Amino acid sequence: MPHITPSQFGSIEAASPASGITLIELSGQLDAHTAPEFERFLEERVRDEEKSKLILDFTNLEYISSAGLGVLMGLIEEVRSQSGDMKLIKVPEKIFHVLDLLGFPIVFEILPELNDALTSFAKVK
Amino acid sequence: MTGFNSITLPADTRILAELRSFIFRIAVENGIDSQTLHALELAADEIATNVIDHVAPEMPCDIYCKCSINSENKIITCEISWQSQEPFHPEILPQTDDIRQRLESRQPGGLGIFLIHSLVDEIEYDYHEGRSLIRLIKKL
Repeated sequence: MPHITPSQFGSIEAASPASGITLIELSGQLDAHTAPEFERFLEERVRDEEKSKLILDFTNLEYISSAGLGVLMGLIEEVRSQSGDMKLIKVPEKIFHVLDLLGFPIVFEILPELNDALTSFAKVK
Repeated sequence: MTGFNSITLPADTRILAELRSFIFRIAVENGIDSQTLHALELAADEIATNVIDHVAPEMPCDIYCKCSINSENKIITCEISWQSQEPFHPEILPQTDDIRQRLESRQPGGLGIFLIHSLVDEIEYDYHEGRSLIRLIKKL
C-alpha cells in the first residue's frame, strides 16, 4: 500500500458534568476505519463500566459516515434498557444534515448545549 | 469538459481519508461549494466502504476514482470503479419511510446506500471488462 494517512479520530471522557452522567467528546473523522475504535470505546463505558446516561459532544467532530452512525444505533437500545439514554450536543451543521437525512432526530435527542442535555436528563428520573 | 483528475487506492479502510482528501482537492481547485463537496465526499466514502466490506474480502482490488467538472452543464461527476467478477447489484433502495422504520427498529443496514442516493442528483451503474462502476452526478 502506498504511504497514506488514515482517518484520525478521538473520543475522550471529559469530567462528569453531573452525578451519574458521562460526557464524551468526539473529534476528528468517524468513518469505517475509525468506527470500530469508537465502538470499543462506547462498549467499555456501557457494558464494562455500566454507564448509561451519555452525552456525546460533537463540537470537534469533522466528519461522520454511516459506519459511525451505525455505532450509535447499535448501542442506543442497550443504554435505554438500563434506564439511560444517549444525547447528542453541539452537532455541526453539515453533520446535522446527514443525521437529518437519515431521520436520526426521531430516535436521538439532539440538543444545542450541554445544559440542555443535563436539563433533559434531569426531567427523567 | 474541463478539470479532470483521478486516483487509484487499495480497497482498505485506511484509504478513506485519502479518497476524501482527493475529492476535497478537486473541489477546492474548482471552487465547488462546501455543501456539494461534503455530499460527494460522503457518497464516495459510502461506495468505497461498501466495496471494502463486501467485495475486497473475496477478491482484493483497487478502487479508482475520477472526478470531472462540466462547466457548461454545471455538473460535477465522480466515477468510482473496482475490479469485480459481477456487476454491482444495489440493494432495493430503502425509501424514506423504510429508512425511518429501520432506524426505529435499530437496523443500521441500508443507511449507506440510502445516503448515497440522498446526497447526489443522479447515480448510474455500469459494468465493463471486469470492472463495476458507479457514477455520481451532482449539479453545481
